[in-house]
Amino acid sequence: MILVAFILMGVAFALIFAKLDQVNKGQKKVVSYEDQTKQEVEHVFDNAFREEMRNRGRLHFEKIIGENAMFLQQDLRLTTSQLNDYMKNEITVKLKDEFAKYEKSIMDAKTMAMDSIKKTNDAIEEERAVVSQEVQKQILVEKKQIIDKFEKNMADIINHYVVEAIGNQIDLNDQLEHILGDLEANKEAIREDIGHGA
Amino acid sequence: MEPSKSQASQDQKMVLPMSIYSPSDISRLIRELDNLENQIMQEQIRSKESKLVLPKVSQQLNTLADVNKVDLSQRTHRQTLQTALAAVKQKAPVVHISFSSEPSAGFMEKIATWFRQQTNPYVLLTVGLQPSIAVGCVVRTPNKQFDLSLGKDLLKKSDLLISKFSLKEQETASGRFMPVKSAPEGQS
Repeated sequence: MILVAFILMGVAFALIFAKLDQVNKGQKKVVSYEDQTKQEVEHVFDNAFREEMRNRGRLHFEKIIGENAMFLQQDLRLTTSQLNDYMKNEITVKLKDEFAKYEKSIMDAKTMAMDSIKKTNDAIEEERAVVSQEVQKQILVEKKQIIDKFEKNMADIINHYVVEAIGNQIDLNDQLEHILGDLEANKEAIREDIGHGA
Repeated sequence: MEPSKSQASQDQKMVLPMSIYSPSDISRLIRELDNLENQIMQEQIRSKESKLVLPKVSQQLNTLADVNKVDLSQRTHRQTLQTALAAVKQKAPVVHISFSSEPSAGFMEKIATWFRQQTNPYVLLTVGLQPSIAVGCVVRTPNKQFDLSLGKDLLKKSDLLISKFSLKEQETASGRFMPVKSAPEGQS
């Protein structure tokens, strides 16, 4: 558009200079009337007229320049708008791609994290089950040991309890019948051992 | 000194009173007979009299002499008794009995009676003290030991105790066993 404006301005200047050149050529051919023509020309195309023409040319040039500037401005605005749309679209597409990649990366990371957490949970669960079984086994072993120990020492425990509870209250004379009964029960063995030892 | 066959036959005839049941009693009687022999001999040397005044002797020696119909004023009788006691000390079987507390003399006489009637008439008893026995006694013969205490009795019946405990545990586990609430104070 700018180039077209400059071309139009050049054509206008060429037309003006062509007219002026024709006027000069007519003055040379008609020498006799040269002076008269010159005077008439001077009279027609006097300085005021020339100045007016210049002004008109200037105004026209300014008008053309203004129109071209307006066109240029419109074109610039249009170009800017198109450029904005283009940039917007491009940026949007790029951002969408980037976001899609970012989202995909996040999803991959999330999947990996979930897999890792699941594996860790599975491992912890297995370990917990093993530890639980081991603890249960140890508890059973310990319980059995405690019960065995208690059963083994139960007679001593009860005997100790009886001694502590009523040990001082049992008189030997009260036990005589019981002792003689026990001796009677073991009489044969006692007699045999005394007979062998005597 | 090994006793002769005639002395052994006399030993068989001698009767030990139940109040004399321990080896220390026998030793004490032997010492007392020795002392008595010496005293009588000294008395005879000093007095030169025909009639002998017998020194005072212990209750156990008197009982022993009465039971065996021995005249302690006769030297031969004393020597026979001494020989018999020495033989008893040497040959009689000794049984050790442990009780939870110190037994009385009457109690030991009853125990000695049982042993001499049921096993051997010359059994001697030594007494030990073992408070952990609580009830019963522990008898140690020359080669064996008989634990007749309550602890041993409980040990023999441990299966019964275990079954009782198991039953109680099952009752507790099933909730049938409920602890008895104690009555408020002031109410019996």
